[in-house]
Amino acid sequence: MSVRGALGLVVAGLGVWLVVLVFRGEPGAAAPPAAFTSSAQCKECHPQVYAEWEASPHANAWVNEAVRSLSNDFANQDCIACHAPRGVFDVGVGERMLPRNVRRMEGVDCLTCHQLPEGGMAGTITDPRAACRPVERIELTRPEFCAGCHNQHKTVDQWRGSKWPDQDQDCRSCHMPFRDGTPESGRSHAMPGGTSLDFLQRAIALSGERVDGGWLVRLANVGAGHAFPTDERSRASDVFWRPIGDLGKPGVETWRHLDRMRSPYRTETDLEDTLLQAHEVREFTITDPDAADGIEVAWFYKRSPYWADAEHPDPDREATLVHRLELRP
Amino acid sequence: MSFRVVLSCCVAALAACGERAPTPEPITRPAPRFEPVIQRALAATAPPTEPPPAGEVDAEELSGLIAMFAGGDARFTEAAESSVAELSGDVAAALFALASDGADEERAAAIGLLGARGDAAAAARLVDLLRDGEPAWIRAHAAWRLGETDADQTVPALLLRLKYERDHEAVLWIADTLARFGNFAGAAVIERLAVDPATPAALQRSARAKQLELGELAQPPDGLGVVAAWERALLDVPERSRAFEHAVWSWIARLEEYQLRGVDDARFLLERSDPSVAKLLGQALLEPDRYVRVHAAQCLARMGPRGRAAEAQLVALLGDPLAAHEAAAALGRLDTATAEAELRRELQAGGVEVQVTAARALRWRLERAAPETRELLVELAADATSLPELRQAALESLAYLGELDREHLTALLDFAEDERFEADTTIRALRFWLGEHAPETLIAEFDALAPEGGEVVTWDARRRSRRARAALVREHLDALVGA
Repeated sequence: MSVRGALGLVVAGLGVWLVVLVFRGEPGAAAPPAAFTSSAQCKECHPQVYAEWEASPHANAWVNEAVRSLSNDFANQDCIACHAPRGVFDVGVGERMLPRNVRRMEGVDCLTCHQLPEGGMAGTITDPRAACRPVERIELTRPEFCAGCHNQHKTVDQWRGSKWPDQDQDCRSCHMPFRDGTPESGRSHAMPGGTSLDFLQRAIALSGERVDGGWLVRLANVGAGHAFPTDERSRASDVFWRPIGDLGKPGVETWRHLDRMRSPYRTETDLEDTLLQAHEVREFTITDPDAADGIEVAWFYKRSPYWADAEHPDPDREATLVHRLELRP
Repeated sequence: MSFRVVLSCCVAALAACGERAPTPEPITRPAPRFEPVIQRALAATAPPTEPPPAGEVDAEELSGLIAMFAGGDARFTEAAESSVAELSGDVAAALFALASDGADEERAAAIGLLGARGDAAAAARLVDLLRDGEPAWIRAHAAWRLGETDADQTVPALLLRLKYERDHEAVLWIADTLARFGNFAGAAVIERLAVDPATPAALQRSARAKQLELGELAQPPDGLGVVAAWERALLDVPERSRAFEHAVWSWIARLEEYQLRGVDDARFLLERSDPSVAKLLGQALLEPDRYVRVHAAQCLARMGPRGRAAEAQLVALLGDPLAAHEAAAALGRLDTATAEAELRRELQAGGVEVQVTAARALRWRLERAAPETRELLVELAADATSLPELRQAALESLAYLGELDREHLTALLDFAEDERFEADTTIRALRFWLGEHAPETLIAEFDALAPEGGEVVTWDARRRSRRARAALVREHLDALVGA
């Protein structure tokens, strides 16, 4: 018998022993966790969560046109770290994220938040019988978990500086609400934010009144747990007004700019940070003679800070109308 | 014993006895031993503590020197230049104050005298003016006068101004001064100003003159322009001062910052630095802070062949799971046979993410790629069992290496059309290959199918474009790679 043949027999014997070990079917024995290489594998057991995620900004993180444009198609490689990140538990909770090199089309996916480097998934319960071997990890619930990406744009710091932490309102309170308002229904993974008009409308309030010599317009951050907009340089919000007589006319010809909320990009050294901080109220008095008969005020939100024509912005076409207000004598 | 067990036994036995192609052993690269290199280097290169300048500056004498310098008579100018070096007191601060406010002639003279004095304090004040001086001619003057000093520690500050400076004349002088310090990162800007029809005529003349001077300063090898010679690390680098190294280490230290703005500044100037900086960046790859390692590797990747001094440390960094991917990307850009061999090792038996990076990184070898590299990429491209992104990366590199046959090209087009995969890199690889192998008319048609510009290109537009470009190449498959 050749050496190779003898070796084969030894290995075969070992194989028998191993197979018996694995298949002997002792009650309670756990197979190793399944190997997960794509979030698509999560769909089978978690269809509702998967559907919520699939329609969320997280799933869209690699392909959405705003980030494509603002990052110059990710030529700015710093953006990759949060738009196709490695696992949070792999990099370290609270640490700035590092980029992954595969599955980038899946954006910020299930594995980003849940996969544990030692195998298994982080979850809200521990269940050794489930295929993905969830292990309860409290870190998932903490703002530090989101900070690896979202504090790069200072969102978590803005929240920390607000009154919301004292009221036990954190990232999940708004962005991962209970599906039907009760813990039993679980938390939604749709992650609503600036992509949701309802969310935007609840975040800010627009009001105004007649004052001596003009109109007082008041802008307030009433519901965002952070600055409005957040994500600093990549977003902007603008308030315009026009005389009441211009109602219905093309906005690009009639809107007059009142305020802009935005943090400058790193090269925009001549701009100042004008984000509307959490709980901040900003007031403007419009005394223009054209405003005498009343004004219309509109508050817009933009997912890209730039206008197609900076000299003649057209918010009706290029931005989302969040609130509008008519003030009449 | 169940049937399942018997079957498993047979499979195991067959596996052990059959003739099999040898599978490469997984690479076991030791994790690098990290140590606080930045802290040590900053301490080792720190300038000696000097006592504050003694005595008051004689304001009357300084005013006289300013007048002499501003007068325009060469003899007086020279006299003022040598006298200002003898003055006592905090002369740099006094000259800075004069440069910051007053009549233009006096401000220019004060900047000139700062350059003539040329010590560390004067150079630091010139850097302040270079950064914050208003109007723009102050910054241009500060850059010019820095070029008359020996203060090579100002090179990082000059490089950073290339990022922020918007005034073309100031940029021209920054690039010129950098060249005098043996850094040709601004040569491309000078070339652009020299040929751009939008450059004002006077500035264009200056740029053309500087372009000629650059050729003399750099002395590139025959047949190569300064820019190409600089990028290929073929230019001599003067010996750097300790102050230069200290300035560079101060910027390397910023690579660990959490907010990326400081990191981006540091990376901008470090990647535009001369090959001597690669040695320091290589040492920084051992820093305990993971972000320093990752960002230092990114700097080296962007340096390309200028980063070769860090080759050994980059190879060692392949053993660091958090930075191996960046190390592999940087090794590819070094474009050396050693780096190529290391990437091949990763490709054969490294972790999957590093394998993908290694496959992509090998494309930089172009026609210089070794036959083993080509064979390995061909094998990977054909291996239907491997990770699709690895096959995609291998096919893309084969396109750059000019190795695409019909089967490869078809597979590459499949990736270009498959919406499950990122296709930008694939489209770029196709475009490169077409550039070498397709008639100009086809290339023009391919380019015309790029997504329409504008502020935002939608994902749908991209999808349509990649499909249309893939379809176009398919139409010409026979002509391109034979039936």
